[in-house]
Amino acid sequence: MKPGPLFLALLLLAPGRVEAQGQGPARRFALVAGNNAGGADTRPLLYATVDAQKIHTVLTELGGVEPQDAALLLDRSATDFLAALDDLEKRVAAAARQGQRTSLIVYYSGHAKEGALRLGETRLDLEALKQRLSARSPADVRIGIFDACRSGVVNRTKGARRGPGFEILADGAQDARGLVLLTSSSADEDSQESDALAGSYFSHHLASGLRGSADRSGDRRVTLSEAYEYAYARTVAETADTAAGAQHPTFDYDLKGNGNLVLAELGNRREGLYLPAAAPAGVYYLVEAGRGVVSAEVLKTAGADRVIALSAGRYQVKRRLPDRLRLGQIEVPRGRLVTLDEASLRDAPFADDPVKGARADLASSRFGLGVGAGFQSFFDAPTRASLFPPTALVSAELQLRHFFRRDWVWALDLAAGSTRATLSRDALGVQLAYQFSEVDAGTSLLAEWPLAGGRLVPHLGARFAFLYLQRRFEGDAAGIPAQHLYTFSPGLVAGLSYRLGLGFSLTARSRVHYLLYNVDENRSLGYWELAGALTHDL
Amino acid sequence: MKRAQLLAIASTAAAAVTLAACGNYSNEDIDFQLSVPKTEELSTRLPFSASAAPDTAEYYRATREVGSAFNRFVVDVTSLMDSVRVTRPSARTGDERIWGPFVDRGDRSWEVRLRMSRDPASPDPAFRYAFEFHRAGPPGSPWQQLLGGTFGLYRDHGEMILDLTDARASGYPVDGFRDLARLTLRYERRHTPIELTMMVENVDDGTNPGASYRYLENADGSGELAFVSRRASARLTLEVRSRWNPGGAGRADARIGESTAPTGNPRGIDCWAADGHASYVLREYGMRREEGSAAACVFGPP
Repeated sequence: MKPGPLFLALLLLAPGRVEAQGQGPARRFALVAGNNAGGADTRPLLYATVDAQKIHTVLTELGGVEPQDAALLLDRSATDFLAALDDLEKRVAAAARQGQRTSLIVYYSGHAKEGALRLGETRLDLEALKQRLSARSPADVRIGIFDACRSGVVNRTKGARRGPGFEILADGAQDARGLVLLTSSSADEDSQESDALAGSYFSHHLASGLRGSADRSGDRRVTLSEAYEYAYARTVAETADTAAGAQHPTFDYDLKGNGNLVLAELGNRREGLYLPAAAPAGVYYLVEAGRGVVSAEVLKTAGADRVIALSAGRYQVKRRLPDRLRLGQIEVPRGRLVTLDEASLRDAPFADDPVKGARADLASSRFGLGVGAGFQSFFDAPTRASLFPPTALVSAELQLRHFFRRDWVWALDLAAGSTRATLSRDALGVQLAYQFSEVDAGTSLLAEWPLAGGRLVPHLGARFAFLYLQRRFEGDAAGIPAQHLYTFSPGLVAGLSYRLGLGFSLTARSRVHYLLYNVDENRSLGYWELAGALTHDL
Repeated sequence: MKRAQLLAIASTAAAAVTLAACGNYSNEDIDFQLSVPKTEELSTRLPFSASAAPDTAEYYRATREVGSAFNRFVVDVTSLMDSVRVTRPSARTGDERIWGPFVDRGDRSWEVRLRMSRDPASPDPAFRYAFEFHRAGPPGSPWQQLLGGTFGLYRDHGEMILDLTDARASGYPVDGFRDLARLTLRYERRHTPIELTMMVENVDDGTNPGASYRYLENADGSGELAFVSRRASARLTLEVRSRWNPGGAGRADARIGESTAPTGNPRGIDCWAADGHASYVLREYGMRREEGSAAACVFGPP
């Protein structure tokens, strides 16, 4: 779930050759922005920039926006946003002077709070932006898309409708002019992110819809109405069971002219995936290979074929069944449609989910329990010889994942070990045999960076431990009373985990610690540990 | 509370408690503890442990009794030091260790402690110690010494002086020591023969001033125990010197006389075989008596 407000508004596309049937060609411009950071009083989002990249790609591939007419801003400031908007509007004005019809799409995914878009530590007043798009933008048609929490507030005063779809009726005028706003949620709802989709629900389904999933009529064009209906239905359905509750996109428009606006033109594009009628029904996810990002999602019904427009490249195909996944790989050559062969898919456990983030959700629960063994040794030789000998340890660890923030792990560990050693007291000319024992109880806070789709997880963090060290003398020295040391020790941890599947992970870890010894004298000591552990998700 | 604040507080607390180590994990303490002599290292070991039967040599039995008395004195002294070996120091400051204060088990109105110190600039003696007592309760009650002395490293030599003068004057309970006023025990174990000497001074009541002892032990088990006991009331001095070989056979020479004229005093001689039975007896005091042959003695005259 996206903790901060996401704000999605759809700006009405002016009818042009691409947008509306029977209209002359229009030139489209797009400002696409995504900000994961929303300021100190918000939690960082995970997928806002990914959302923006998806929308940018769809608009430039299928939405009729030339790459040079599209500005993509990722984690930039409000000043940068307004500067990019200024630049695009100048170019819109120049195109208009040349007799071209123009449309401007403004998309934002990120935090919004207290009536402002949150671009990092900067603010962009939402009402002011709306007024600019409504009254002062030179484009014939303006479409605003805001994917942010409580984004519906932008439509509240305009009597926005919270509904599954709409039709913009033509009033006879050929040249549409006006403003359309779409938001990802209503004024009192959160907009949510999904780890399983590696994106925001609304933006994901909007992008999928534009790639063909929303082509209800089958005419190889996705209109604004189709795209919104599809995104609305999928968003409501998938958020209904989330902790934050159902999320209802909203729309509003002030448009005159031919309103059946085409947002995506699929007919001229021959790159993508074809699902034949015989392919099993279900939801298919197309995941960019290597990035773990869902490019498109398509609901295929039995007996119907579907086409999804995709950029050339390699994708993993995933279909989710109640007890397993069906996975496969395809390569979409440039300018060609690839037909999915069901026989090329294989059954796989949920742990093998290729979606970035989904593996973290599906393959691992919030808790993990591990057992392991390791070796501990102090850095300097005199300490090893006279105080704390090198020791093998066995350990157990409880992990709480996504604690404090995503990909942070809070771990509690307990270790114990023992060894025999000899203490030389040269001044006395004696060798004293003793049994050294140690018990450690530690707590760690680790940051993880899942790689390779989450199968390899390096981590780095800090640890704080309580140590109980003891030695009991033996033989001729048995009369010497046992000695103990209780102390705390801070340290650093680095390691690498490899997910074996079925909820198991193998971890190799190293630690370095500081210890203050202050009995005979104050000495700052350091020790290192190397350990391996087998962890299972609870 | 925000998570960031929670993390900051936890980090600060962690930094603070890092410096809170505690325990008795000390190599220096071991040096102190290993240098305190054990009772058995300061005790006499006389030939064969079987109790002297009535038919064993008289002076042999007397030697055993003297040796037992010697060992009891040693226990009186070393028992005060046992706390060093079996407990951890209560305080450590540089080259000094303190055990206690502990409540005196015999009288809870008193506290006792043991202080040991080491002077690295003067390795011999390695340690100085003092067993002290004071009144429990009153703040600032001064500590007085009961037992003091020096130890060498790893118990190889030292001196222990038990002085009951201040203890009796202050009321500290020392009834178990009877008439003892001062006891000085010295030991030398750095070479053979091992030598233990003890000077016992009793309270000056004009009756029994005290005694002195000297014990030698060779590596092969042979040894010697000499003691001089003085009786002020009778102005008598009793000197006994016992010697034995590794097999246990031995000879004791005794002289009894006025303390002012030790030479020419009447003698007594016992020689005994390895089983303790007398092989030669000579008495020159009281009714003169001579039994057996002096040639049977394993040792000649001292």
